[in-house]
This record gives sequence, C-alpha cells and structure tokens, in this order.
Amino acid sequence: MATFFLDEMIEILCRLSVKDLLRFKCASKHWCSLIDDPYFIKLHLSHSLKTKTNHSLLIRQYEYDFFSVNYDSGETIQRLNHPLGEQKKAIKILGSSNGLLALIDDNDRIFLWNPSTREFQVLPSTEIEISSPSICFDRSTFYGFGYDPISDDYKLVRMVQLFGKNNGKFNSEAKVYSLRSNCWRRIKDFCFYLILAREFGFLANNALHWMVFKPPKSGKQNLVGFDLGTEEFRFLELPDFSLDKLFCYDIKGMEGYICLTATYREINTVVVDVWIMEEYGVKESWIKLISWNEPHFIPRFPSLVVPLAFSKNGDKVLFNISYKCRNYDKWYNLRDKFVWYDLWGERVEKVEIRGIPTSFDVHFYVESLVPINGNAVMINNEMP
Amino acid sequence: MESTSKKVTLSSSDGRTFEVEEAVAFQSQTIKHLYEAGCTGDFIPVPNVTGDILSMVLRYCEKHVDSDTAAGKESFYVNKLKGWDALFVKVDQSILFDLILAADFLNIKSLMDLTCKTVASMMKGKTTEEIRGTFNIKNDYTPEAEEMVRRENQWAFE
Repeated sequence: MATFFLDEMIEILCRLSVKDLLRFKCASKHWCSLIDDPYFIKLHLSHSLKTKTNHSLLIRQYEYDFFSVNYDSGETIQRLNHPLGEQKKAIKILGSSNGLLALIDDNDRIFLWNPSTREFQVLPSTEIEISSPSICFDRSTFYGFGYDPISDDYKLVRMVQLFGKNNGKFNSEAKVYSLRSNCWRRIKDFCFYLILAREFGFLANNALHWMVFKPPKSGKQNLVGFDLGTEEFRFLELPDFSLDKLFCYDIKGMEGYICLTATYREINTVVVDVWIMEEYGVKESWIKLISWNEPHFIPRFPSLVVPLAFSKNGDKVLFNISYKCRNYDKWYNLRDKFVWYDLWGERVEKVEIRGIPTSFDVHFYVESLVPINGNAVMINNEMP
Repeated sequence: MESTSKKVTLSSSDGRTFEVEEAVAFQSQTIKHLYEAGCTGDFIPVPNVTGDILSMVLRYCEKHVDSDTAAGKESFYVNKLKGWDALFVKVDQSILFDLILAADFLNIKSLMDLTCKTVASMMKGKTTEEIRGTFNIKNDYTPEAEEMVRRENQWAFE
C-alpha cells in the first residue's frame, strides 16, 4: 500500500466536497486537524474557485425557506436548515463571499451563515450615531458584505443616511464590521445620496458596489465602489447609454466582474443586453457579452432576466428568468426558471432541477469550509 | 529540427531503462530540471518509481506531448484525449496510488490532477470506515471523541 506524503493527501482532499470532508473528519485525529487547518481551508476554496467546482445556488422560497442546488451536476435540490430554525421570519440574503452568506431580517438583525458547514453567528448590533436633520425624516440603509484579502478578514459595511423631509438636509454615517474582531467601527463619511430605503451591495474585485446619486442632487444614478482593503469609495463609469431609457436594469458581480444587464423595449420586441467590465475601473473595457432578443417574452407579465454564473468551461452563462406580477404596490415573483445561454451557438438550453419551487430568489455561492468564528454555533435542529 | 528527435534515457528504481524523446520526458518538471542542471550522463535516475509505473507514466506523457500545441487544443483532440485519460486511470487502486506518488515526484501537473481527481471521485459519498480502509488510516480517536466529532457534523452522515 502506497503511503502518501502530506502534500499528496492535501492534493486529493482539496478536490472533495465540503460534506465529504466533514464526514472524513471522523476518520482520525490527523485527518480532522488536516481538514480544519486554515491553510487547507484556503487551498480547498481556491481550488473550488479555480476549477469552478462546489459551486451552488442558494434558493429562497416564501422569504424563509432555503434550498441549495449544485447546478452543474443537476442534482436534486436540498433543503437547508435555516439559521432561525422553525421561526417563519422573513430573511433576505444581504451578500455572499467565499461560501459565507450574510443574512438580514426585517428588524435589521444580521447573521453570518456558512450553509455548507451550517455554522452561523449573529452579528452584534450597532447604534446609529448620527442624529436626524429634522423631526420628520426618511432613512436609507445600504449594506454590503465581502472578503478583504489584505487584512484576511470578512467585512460587513453599513451606510445610513437620514434625510429631512422638508428641509433637504441629510446626515450620513458609514460603519464597518470586522469578523476577526467581531465589532463595528465608524469610518470616514461618504458624500453621495442613497435615496432608496434599503439596498444590498454586490462584490467584485474586492470591492462592494451600490447604485447611488452623486451630488448635486440629480436623477442620475451612479455606480460607487467601496474598496474593502483601503476602505475608500470611488465612482465607476457605466457603459454609454442612458439608464432612464431602459425598461429595467440589474447590476451585480459575476465571478469577480461587474456585470450590467440592461433590458429595453424595441418595436415589438424585448432585448436583454449583458455587459461585463473586463478591466476593473476602466470605462473603455465594458464589453457587450450578450445581446439577447426577446428571450422570455410573455405578454402582460414583465420579466427580469439576470445572469448568475459562467459554466465550467466558460462557454455558457446561467440565467435566472423571473416573471413578475403586481398586486397593489408590491411586485411578486410569479414563476422563476433557469436557462443556460450558449455564448457560441447563441442558443438557450433548459435547466431541469427536480423539486425546484415555482418562484424564488436566487443567490450564487461556493461551498467552502470557511469558519465563521471560534464562538460560532452549529446549526442543527437535532443537536441537543 | 534535430532537437525534436533528441532522446534521453531514464532509469527506474528497479534498474529498468527507458529511452524516450526529450519532449516526452520533459513533461516531468523534475526530469527537465535535472537535465538542465547537468545531469546528462548515460541516464537520468528516477529512484522512487518502479519500471512498471514509469512505463505507464511515459505512455501518458507520450499521449500528452502535443496537448500544449494549437492542434492539440482543438476540441476534437481534447475530447479524444479525455476519453484516453479516463481509460488510463481505470486501474487497480494500488496502481492509481503509485501513479499519484510518481506524478508528484516527477512533477507532472496534469497527471497529478487527473489521478487526484480520480481518487477524489472514488471517495465521494464513502463512509468514514471505508475511507479508513482505503487509506490505511488508524483510528486514533477515543470512542467518546469520535462520537463528538460525528455529532458536530451529523448532517454530513445523512
């Protein structure tokens, strides 16, 4: 029987799924310490990212039911035990990075959750230190979550802006939570308008991004990035077209790139353009990856077409097509489905996933062993 | 094009010698470095690898010698090679393990990837007991400690 060196064993183990690895921790103390080792955890993660393995979709149904599905293997959907157990409370996905998800409930309580290891932690709460500019005011709260490779830490950003309803004045503050220190600290103020009530930023190039309004106050939205390392804000240019003319748009991070999906009407048809910023921060590097004509059109039901991820060899893009309906002031998802868009053949393939709910929210994540904290609690309803 | 037909001789741990083209042998970074460092006597020794395994490794290298060229990257050849690779690793587990050791020692990245991936997929869904058997692992847990680790990750056993 061959005896492997440590390096060879690690080469094999970093190609396994998180579930297999958690089970194999029971093989021996040596294997357990190998799998728990921070160096191994990073190696396993970077191997998963590089080879696009262990990539999953997190699906949320009815605001509190979570499922995961490995879309490459087409396996059946798996129900995940929600961090709040049986409480049927609405929980939104605030952001995800390296397999960790930041969740938020309606009371602005924030949780970190690794659905692959089922570890989770409630973040300490933090006060709003600024005062409102007048008795009557509106509040905007923008969040974002991501990994900072410089400090090797996970950070959660919260920007709060309070607007006077009549006097046009506003006060703002920005705070950063660090997972390493498990505490919040205030950072330099920002100088742009948030306006919308609550928004979650997206991660690309180790920076968090939101659509905001630049002063002086105008109707034009701008993309702002927050560098997780330097903790500085900077504005980024969008491709040359007017957001106003669009029927709808979606901007997000896809595999480290900023990805803009613009949906607009042309005579008798609907067009979906997907743009990618190839070189971060360089306006000229925006390229139109896909221009998709009438992909999903159903009269009367507006739909949102959003790319989620590239396939393993990069020749296809996975899309979520979501049909909406409106009831009074609120939009509901009527039906959701996934399709693969073939970049070369410009063809569309259906994605069959057994047991998938009719309508849902979806979030991409990579299954990882990344720990949340020493004081993390295991989530398992069967645990004593 | 004299250099393409230049040959090197490798000698396995059990003293068997193999004469192969440079391009084939140099897929092993270890052999390439030894050669460049001046180890160019009658043969280059490969002390950790038996003749049986070395001949398999060299068969793999011969097959993959063109994989970096433009023609080799065409999807027709890539798919054909993938099929060949799949058959290549359909061997007894002990041979597969020896191939990993050889690929690591000889520093052949693609072979390391292929063999490790094969072992990893064999491990998929296996029980802890099966893994202990496969890798000859001595269970050094006390029953209580093992039960604790198992309970912490109970869902991974379902």
